[in-house]
This record gives sequence, structure tokens and C-alpha cells, in this order.
Amino acid sequence: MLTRRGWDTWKLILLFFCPALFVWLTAMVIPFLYGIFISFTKWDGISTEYTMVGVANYTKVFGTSKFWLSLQRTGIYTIGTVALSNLLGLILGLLLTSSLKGRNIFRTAIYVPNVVGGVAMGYIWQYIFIYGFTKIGQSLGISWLSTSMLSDPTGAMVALILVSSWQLSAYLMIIYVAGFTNVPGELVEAARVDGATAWGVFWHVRMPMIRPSITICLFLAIVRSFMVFDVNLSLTDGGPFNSTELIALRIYNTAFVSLKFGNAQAQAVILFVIVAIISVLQAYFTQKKEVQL
Amino acid sequence: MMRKLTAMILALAMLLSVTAAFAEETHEPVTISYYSTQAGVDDETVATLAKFMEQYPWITVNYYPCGDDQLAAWLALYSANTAPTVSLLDCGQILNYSDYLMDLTQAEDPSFFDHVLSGVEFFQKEGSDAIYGIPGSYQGFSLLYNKTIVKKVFGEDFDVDTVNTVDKLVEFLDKIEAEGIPSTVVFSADWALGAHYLGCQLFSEWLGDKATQRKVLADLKDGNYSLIENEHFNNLMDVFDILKERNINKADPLADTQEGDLEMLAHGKVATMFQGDWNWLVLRTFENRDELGIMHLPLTNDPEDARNSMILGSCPKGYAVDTYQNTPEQQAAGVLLAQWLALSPEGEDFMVRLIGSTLPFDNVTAVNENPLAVSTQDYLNKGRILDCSTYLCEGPTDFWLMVGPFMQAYLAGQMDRATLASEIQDYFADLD
Repeated sequence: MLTRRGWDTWKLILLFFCPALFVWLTAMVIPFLYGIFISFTKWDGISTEYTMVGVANYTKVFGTSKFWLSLQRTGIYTIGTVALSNLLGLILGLLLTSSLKGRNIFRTAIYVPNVVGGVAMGYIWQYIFIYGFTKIGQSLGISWLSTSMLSDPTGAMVALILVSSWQLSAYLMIIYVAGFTNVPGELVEAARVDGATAWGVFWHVRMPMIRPSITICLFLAIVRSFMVFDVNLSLTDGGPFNSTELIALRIYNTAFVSLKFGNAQAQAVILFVIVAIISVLQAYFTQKKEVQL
Repeated sequence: MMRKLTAMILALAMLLSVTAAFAEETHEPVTISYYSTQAGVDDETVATLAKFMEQYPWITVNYYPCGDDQLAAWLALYSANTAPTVSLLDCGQILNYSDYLMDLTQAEDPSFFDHVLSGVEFFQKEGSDAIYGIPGSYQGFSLLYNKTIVKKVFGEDFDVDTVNTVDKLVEFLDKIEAEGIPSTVVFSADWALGAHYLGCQLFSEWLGDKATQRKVLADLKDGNYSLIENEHFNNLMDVFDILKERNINKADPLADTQEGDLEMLAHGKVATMFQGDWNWLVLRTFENRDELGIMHLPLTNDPEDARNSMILGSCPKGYAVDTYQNTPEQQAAGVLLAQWLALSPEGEDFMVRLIGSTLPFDNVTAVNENPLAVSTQDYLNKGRILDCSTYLCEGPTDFWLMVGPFMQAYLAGQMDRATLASEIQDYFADLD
């Protein structure tokens, strides 16, 4: 039998817990489960009747070389973007926590790309790659810059990684700034008194202390890179000749251009499993290396 | 006597006005919705719908703009159980989702179909008389050309109609090049190369009548068709080679944009471009936009072949009425709206003056400012349009997406013709 005090506690829990639970269930869990269900059906996108096809969609996806090719491209893109965006974010975070004049203005200015929508940014960069850089190349007689990076499969992938990293690094920079700001000043001071060089302070004191930031940044970068859609759509649209069609764009096209909703969902479920495994492993291993004071 | 007559007239007038008022009151208020895939003109669409609501005060129309992902947004409305009553959709989508749409031949008054010009294909499925859409526009495409350049190179009296063989096309382009003007630009987007250059031309009347086109599509799906041995496919690619050789972007053929290519054409930096009259919303933003026209693209060397003097065209979009989530009253109001949008002077004004589209009806009075649509109308009036609705309405929806990249590779010199043909056949063989 619950006491009055117990009831009050439960009411309070329900008051705070239920709205969040409702949102989580309706916006996350139910669509997720519904998506898994659709992956076992043949569906036209409207009907309330579904034709169950068992694992046929999964069999088809596993047997489609273009799916694996797209996944492979996504892997290359993810490695490039995670590495470059984190490196840039880390450098920017370090610079903007030093005694640089006007650092708050720089922080704001550098963060701006992250506020611009991915689609708009992709189109802007498309113009820069097609008309801007090529004009510079032609004017200066630099042959490799005279043709657009976007018309070459390797160049287009590099362009995609550069633009994504440029945008993502601004977001990661904020997390790294928070990490560097939280490094105790006395630790840095003690290291300097002991004769540590600037590099030594960075590598042996600051870096171990910002490992939680690295864990979060790597996790965010991996997930975002695997799921990238907007920049891919607007900057290269999968081109040239499908060489930059990453997995999220492929899933979208399978659903809304090819009208194969079950197949698209099967691809999405496979992608989820891959991203979940990689993210959990990454979080587990990087967390193990975190320093506890 | 006079008094009696006056009293009778007054009484009759009162009776009539009461009857009229009663008749008006019999309309129950109804709220419907309109979804348009005509992007970029939302304010104008809302203003046009306001005019409809003025004329039909018992009908309230809510407008759903499409955004970038047209089909996804439309399906989302169905998922939310708020299916639009009337939708302006691509013809392929109309036929794919015809189970949820009204057969407009069963509408209370289907006489609006009488206004559709002969030769214009309806939104019909093979072997069925049902019609699922009212044509929303008619679009023509082929080789766009800059009239100023042509006049400058060939003289004021030159008639592009005389370019009716492949040899004459080569001569035409080379003469322009000889004057130091780049003769063409090949727009490299996958959808333009896949759908318009290849899909529409390959599966158009060049192949024969509708039954033949359907058979070729079916044979390709069954793996019983050799494209590389098909004369029409080879003619098409031979002409593509001619354009490719003279492409102003030859050095970097995939580094272009639709706006950039159209600007070069409008500003006289290039003489021709394979595209369609639907580019008016972009073209109208340029200062030099009036001296443009459409000419046919000959594919053989037979001057007697009438198809060498024709452009391609079809009704790419139509107004369809939902029957799945809308009540019969909403459907009836929806038919009124669809009919009004297609055929009323206000609907005409929107589609012709603003969008710059041709309308396939016999009662169009609005003057088109889009010179390309004027060309299309001219070809349509002369019966010189090759219908490509079989591909657009019945072909696989993702043909352009899958085959467009191969065309890009061909354009960039990364793929030969035999491989292209083989990739297209593989694509069809892989269809469910």
C-alpha cells in the first residue's frame, strides 16, 4: 500500500517522465519498429495493406553490388570526414582557448557554417568548385585547378569530405573548447614548472584530460558521417556517374525514386546495425582510455 | 393592366432571386486541399487559389507546397491521413498511384476533356479507359537555340526547319563554330541526360506507335532485346556524339549547372542546348531571354522522314483527385478545382503567363511570354510533336537515376556505347 508521500513521488515521476516517454515512443521507437516491419514487406507508400515478403528485401540488398559499393564509399567518406573534422576541430579548439585576441569573435565566425543548412551550403560550394576554383586555376594557368573537382570521382569524394569537415569541425570545435577550458590550470602550471615543453603540455597533460570530449566528438562525427544526406544531395547528387552516392542518399532514392519502400527500409536497418556496432565499439574503447582525476 | 403586369414582373423577379438565393444556400461548405509539385511559385499559387475561393465561396482550399522532395512530401500527407484533395503530380506518379485517384471520366461533368487537343495523350493505363488526371501543362523539348546567333550566322531569312537531316545539323553547327561561336552546350545532369536525352527520345514515337514502345519496354524487362543492334538507339547516340564533340564544356563536361548553361545560351555565348521549354522560371531572370526558340534534332539522313522535323513533347503533369481519404463532397469540389485550374482564365493565367507553359487545350487565350513555349505551341499546332508519354508515364520511375550516370560517363569519355547499351539492358533485367 502506497503512502501519501509515495503517491506524491510517483505523481512527480509520472509528470516529468510520461511526456518525455510519449515523445520518445512516438518519435523514435514506434517509427523505428514500423521501419523494421516495412523492411519485411512490399509496400507502395500509401496502402494500409502490406504484402509480407519475408527476408526477400534483405536477400536482394545483400545480393546487390551497388549497395555494398555505396557502403564502401560511405566508409571512405566517414574515415576522411571523422579524421579531418576532428583534427580541425581540435586545432581550432586549442587556438581559441589560448590567449588569442578576439577569440570570441573567431568562435562565432567559425561556428557560422554550422548554422547554414546543409543543402544551401552544398549548393554554394558547388558553385565555388565549378566556377570559383576553376576560374582561379585558368587565370593562374594551374592545370589541376582548371577543371572542377566535382567532375572527377576522386575529386568529388575529396570535395565532399572537405565541405563536410569544414562544417562539422565548427560544431566539434565547441565541444573541444569546452574540453580544453575544463583542463585544471594547476596541472598545466605544474607541468610547466617541471620543465615540460609546449608540445609536452599539450600531449601529456591536455590531451589525456580532454578524452571525454574526444569520445563525444568521434561518436558524433561517425554517426553524422554515416547518415550524411543533405550535403551529398546538393553538392554532388551522387555524381559523377554515381561515384559519390553515399548510403543515405541511396536509401532515399530507392524509396522515393525507385518506389521500393521495403528494399529501402531493409537497407536502412542494415545501416543502423552497422552504425550501432561501430559507434558502441568506438565509445567503449575511447572511454576506457579516459583519465579519472 | 400595366400595374398588374408590373406587379407580375416584380413578383417573378422576387421569385427568381429567392430561388437563386436558395440555390446558393444549398452548397454545404466544404474544405479541400491542393498539393502542387510546381515549386518556386507558392505566393502566386496561393493568390490563384484565393481567386477560386472568391468564385466558389462555399469551398475553402488549403494549399500544401511541395518543397524539394515532391513525392516524399505527398506520401507524408497520406501517412498523416490528410491526403490532398487535388494534386498536381508527374504523370508517372499519377499512374503509379491510380488506385487512390479518381477516374475522371466518372466525374459529374467530364466534358472538360473535350477541350484537350487531339494527339495529346491522357493519363491512362494500358488496356483501360479510365483517365486519372487532367493535363496541367504541355511541355516540348529538343534543341533550344539562340535566334540572334542564327540570324547573325545564316542571315535574317534562315529557316531552322531546313535543318532536317543529320548532315544538315552538322553543317549548321559547324558553320556557327566557323564564326567563332561555340555551337552547343550539353547539360550534364543525370536527369537531363537520362530522362530527356535518352529516355524520352529512345522510347518515343521514333520507335513506332505506343504498342511498339510498350513492347520494347516489356522485351527489355524480359531480357529479349539487344539495344546495341537497335538502329534508333545508334542514331540517337551518333547525334549525341556530334553534340558531345562540339560541347563548349568538352574539356570538363560534367562541370556545369543548369542555370549556368541556360545563361550562356540566353546571353549568346553558345548557340544551342538540348533542353526544354520548362526552363522559363530560370530564363525569365535573364536580361536577354526573348530571342530563343526550339528546333528539332534530326536523327537520320532521310529528309522525307517527318520525325526529323519534329520536337518531343507530352503532358508531364496533371491534376488528380484523391478518392482514398477525401469524402465524396470533397472529391466533387476537388473536380471543380482541378477543372478550374486547368481551364479557367485564372488557371490559364497562372500556367501560361507565370510558369510560361503551353496548355494542350483548344480554348487558350492567354499570351505566353516564354519564347520556348511559343515554339512548342507552334509545333503542337502543326502536329509536329513526337509523343514521349509512354516513357514518362509508363517507363520505370528510376530510369533516369540509374541510367543518367552511365550517360554522364559516356559524355565524359569514360564509357563506350556497347557498355552503355549493356548497362541499360542490365538495369531493365534487374527490375522487379
